[in-house]
Amino acid sequence: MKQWFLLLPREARALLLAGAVVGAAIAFLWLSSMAGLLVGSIREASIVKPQIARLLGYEQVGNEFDRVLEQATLQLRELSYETAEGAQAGARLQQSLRGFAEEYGLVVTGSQLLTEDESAEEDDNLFEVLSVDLSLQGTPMALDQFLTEIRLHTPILAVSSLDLVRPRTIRQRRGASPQNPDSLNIRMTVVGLRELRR
Amino acid sequence: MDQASPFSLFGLDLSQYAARILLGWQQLLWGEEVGLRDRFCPPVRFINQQSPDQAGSTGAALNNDATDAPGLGWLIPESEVLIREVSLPIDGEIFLREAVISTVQSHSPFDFAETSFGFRIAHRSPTELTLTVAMVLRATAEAHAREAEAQVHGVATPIELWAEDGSSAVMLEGFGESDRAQRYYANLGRFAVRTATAVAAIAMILSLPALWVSQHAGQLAELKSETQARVGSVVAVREELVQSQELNAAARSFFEAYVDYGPWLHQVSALTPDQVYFQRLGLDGSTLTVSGLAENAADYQRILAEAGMFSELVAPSAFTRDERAGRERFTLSMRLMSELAE
Repeated sequence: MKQWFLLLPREARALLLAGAVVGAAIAFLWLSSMAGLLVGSIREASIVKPQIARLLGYEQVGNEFDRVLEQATLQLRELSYETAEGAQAGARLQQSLRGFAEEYGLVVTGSQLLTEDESAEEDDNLFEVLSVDLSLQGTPMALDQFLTEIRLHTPILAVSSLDLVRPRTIRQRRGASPQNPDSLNIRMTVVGLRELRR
Repeated sequence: MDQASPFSLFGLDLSQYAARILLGWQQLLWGEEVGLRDRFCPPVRFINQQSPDQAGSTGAALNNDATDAPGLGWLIPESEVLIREVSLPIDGEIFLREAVISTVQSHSPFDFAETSFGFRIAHRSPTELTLTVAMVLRATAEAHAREAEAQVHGVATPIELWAEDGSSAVMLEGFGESDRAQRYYANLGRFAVRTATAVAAIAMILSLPALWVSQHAGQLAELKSETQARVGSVVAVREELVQSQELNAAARSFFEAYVDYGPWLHQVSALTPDQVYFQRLGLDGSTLTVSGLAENAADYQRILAEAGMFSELVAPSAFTRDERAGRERFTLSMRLMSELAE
């Protein structure tokens, strides 16, 4: 074959070589495209098969998803205020805390609502932190009952800081009601969560 | 006069390259070294050189229109032909025909218009080309053609005229060479079609696995789309569930950081002796700071340390004696141990 090729006239040899190169290039392109198609299809099938299996699995346990979602939603309601409550959630929390305090004999001398996004530097915040500063006056017993009420509250609340100060003994004015010797000045911060997404 | 080529690009004469490509093509088709002509060009059967028992087969050849059937030729005896050998540099092959015509014009004893000629490449070396040019008086050639037609009268195909050159022969131009070329090209075309069909069939067979796998992948993708459409609502529920679980986990994580102060207040109260009076009690996160008056502040610090409920118990300032109250003024700071907070 090589001998035959070398014996060919120069121009015929060049033309034949060019034709062979073009043919080889076409064959290479075709083979590589077929190989690419084969490998790509195998890869695609290997990706799609588990996805289909997963979807079919979801379909089989669809009712279970509904049930678990319901439970998860109920659990979430125990942990945070709903998104739908909007800005009113903070006001409601403040109002509730004032109501509890007064219910257990504490005198509310001041309250302030502060709101901030949880991990505000992150883009996708999940919750808004509702924070209520309370200034109260009352006995340790009333405080204990108030703390118990906060612990049992739904959605969950937490006390982030608590400061108890014994008030200075003030000389009592004539005719004024006697000062309770057990009374404390209480300053506390109560925090709760409001869901931001959904 | 120097005349510019119409096929010129940046001063490069492309017509030379075109001529060489054309020459290469001609060499591939008609060159003896390649072998295509020997394989696909129909052979010639000389009418005036057969024995009487071949007459029947000649008749069969005459009525055969197949392109691979032998062509009919008439061999002009060597005595009536002028043979001339011409040498040509190998690079001059692109001007082969011009060289042959020039040779005929200069060496034919007859007027050029009265000369029938043909040529063949007798020898090819790396540097030189040797041509055999055959020249015959046109009237003689036509007489032989008439004689040949008389022998095979009623045949539409033209009779080829060949000039005898020793052991070989040279075909004369103008006497059936175009018909020969057409039959050769037809044979080549059929071979090319057969080859292309075989290559296409092989390519199809080779591509079957890839096509089958691709079709399978397409079917799977379609099945996935159908399943997605059917299970879409379930997937949405699942995504909502995942989101809810994420929110639950985040909320629990948030509240885990806080301490329930109620039980701790009870613990601190239970540990504190009656002679210790608090003036201030502060809880911030898990840090407890108490300040007040005690008969023996150091003793109270020891009681708290031995309780095992606090860590990092320190007195940020010195205990001082309050002469008016008759007790020691103290401030103690400590960290609540989380495991006791439960």
